[in-house]
Amino acid sequence: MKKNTQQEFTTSITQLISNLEVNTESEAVGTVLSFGDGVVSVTGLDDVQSGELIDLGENQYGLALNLEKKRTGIVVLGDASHLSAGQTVRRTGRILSVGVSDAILGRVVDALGREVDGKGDLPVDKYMLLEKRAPGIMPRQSVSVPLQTGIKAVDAMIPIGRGQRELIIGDRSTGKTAVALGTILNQADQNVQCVYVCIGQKRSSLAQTIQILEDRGAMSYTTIVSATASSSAAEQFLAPYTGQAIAEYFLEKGKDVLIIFDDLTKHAQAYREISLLLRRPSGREAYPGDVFYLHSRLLERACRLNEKNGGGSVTALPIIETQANDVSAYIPTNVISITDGQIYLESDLFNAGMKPAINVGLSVSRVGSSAQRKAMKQVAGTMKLDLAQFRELQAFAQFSSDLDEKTKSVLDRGEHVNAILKQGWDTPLKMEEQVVVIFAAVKGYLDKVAIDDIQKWEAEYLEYMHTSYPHIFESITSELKIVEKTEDDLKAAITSFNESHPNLVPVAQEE
Amino acid sequence: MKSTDLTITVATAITLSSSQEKAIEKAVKEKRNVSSVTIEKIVDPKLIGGIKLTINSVEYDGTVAGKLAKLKSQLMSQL
Repeated sequence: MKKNTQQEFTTSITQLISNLEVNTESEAVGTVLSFGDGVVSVTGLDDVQSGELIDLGENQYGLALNLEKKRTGIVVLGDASHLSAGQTVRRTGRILSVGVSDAILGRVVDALGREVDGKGDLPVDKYMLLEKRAPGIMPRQSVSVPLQTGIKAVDAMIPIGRGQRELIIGDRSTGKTAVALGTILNQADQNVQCVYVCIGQKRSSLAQTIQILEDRGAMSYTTIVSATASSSAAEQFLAPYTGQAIAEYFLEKGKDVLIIFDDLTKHAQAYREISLLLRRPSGREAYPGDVFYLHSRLLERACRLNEKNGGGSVTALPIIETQANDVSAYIPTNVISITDGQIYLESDLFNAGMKPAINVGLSVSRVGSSAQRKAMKQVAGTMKLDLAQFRELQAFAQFSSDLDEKTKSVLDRGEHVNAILKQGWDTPLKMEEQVVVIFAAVKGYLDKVAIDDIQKWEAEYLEYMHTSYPHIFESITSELKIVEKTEDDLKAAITSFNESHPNLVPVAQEE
Repeated sequence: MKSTDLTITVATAITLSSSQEKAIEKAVKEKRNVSSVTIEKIVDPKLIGGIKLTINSVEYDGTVAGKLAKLKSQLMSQL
């Protein structure tokens, strides 16, 4: 028995080996001149391509970035402490790509697409190129389907469409990541796959993010690309392209994808580090000259394809961290000009308890309004006006206390509308829920509610509407607009709710 | 025939005999179409057997060590 298995083993090994190729072939090699700070300088390597993978031995790879006549600059992906001067490195002829399959949903991968969550190997269905030209003009179509973030302030005033690039910008700890994560949570029933790219973030916060997504069941449609602060600059530089390549795999299948780059400031810094080590000339803030192209070629790949090309879309939400609200720094201005609008978060608002701390006046969405649902447009139009008037008068109101009735009512309405925009980041609301809440606010049904009670009012009101008037929600979701009958029903519903809750809505006192 | 000089590196496990050296020189002269060839010799017992030729930055690895390494990487990728 034992001899038998031994024989079987020998024959199978012989068969395996006889099928292998060990012929002597010419190989392009190079000799290491110097190695330090993750950058290898190599002579030789004739005909090497830009962006080609270089075999550094010991199963480590590098990326050829600088091609010069006598030497090649290579950045190391991972760890190559075994390298020394005089050692030989080889071309592989492969351009950087990542193996993707449907099984990548729910997984955490590194910048090279290798799993890091310990859930076993990832099957590969297709290799996607990291650097790929963005779709041309003809395969595209304009944005027409909304991407619901579940955040009232965004969906109503700064609507995002599928295929749009909307920047989330703000100082540290103003809730940028929270806006992005809230958006992922809201995609549970929207048939959108999500890719969250973490660049230069703390491992502890990424672990927390993964935990939240897992607890809320959002990992089933989400892939996380992780290049944390402890990853090498090369990995941080590649991570967004890896994420985009994964998103494009789903795009090719005609799916809608949401990709979040958290954050591109760190990405630019990683690229600056690489560029300086490669001795490329530096420009403003020591960033290299092509730092604009670095982000524009990435974000240009966000698109909405027409039906002939599958009809899929990639919506990109890049995040930029500013210093002391300075949006005129180099990287923020670059990315602002590349994207189709920005959500501007302010620390003053955040500290004043306005969460999400979105500055509605400075935030814009350049293309999303064409994708906004009619029902939302019907209520949001008035809200924008209310808030604009409110902001204008607010400055004056601080100086004098005796205001005329009209000004007072405008201020009062503005305060209430502003208060209704407050929302916990992890409690996304559906489009129809947002519509009925904003409807109540802009039609003045909230004017008598104390500002502090508004959150409570909203929660109880939504619960009441779900139990007593489910047909209003049904009508809004099917018609996508507020028809006349629904509007009457809605008014009646709010009145009856207000009457039955005197603790929240005090009955007007006779004067 | 170009009147150029080509420097090549030959790595072997044992020292080459002069006739072997001449044979290599002749082969490279014909293949590369050059008038003279300078050979830099490296002796490395770790190569076990065979020769490794390096011309400019192109390498022809015919050593036993190189073939074993190739075998290993191919076997590992099949597992």
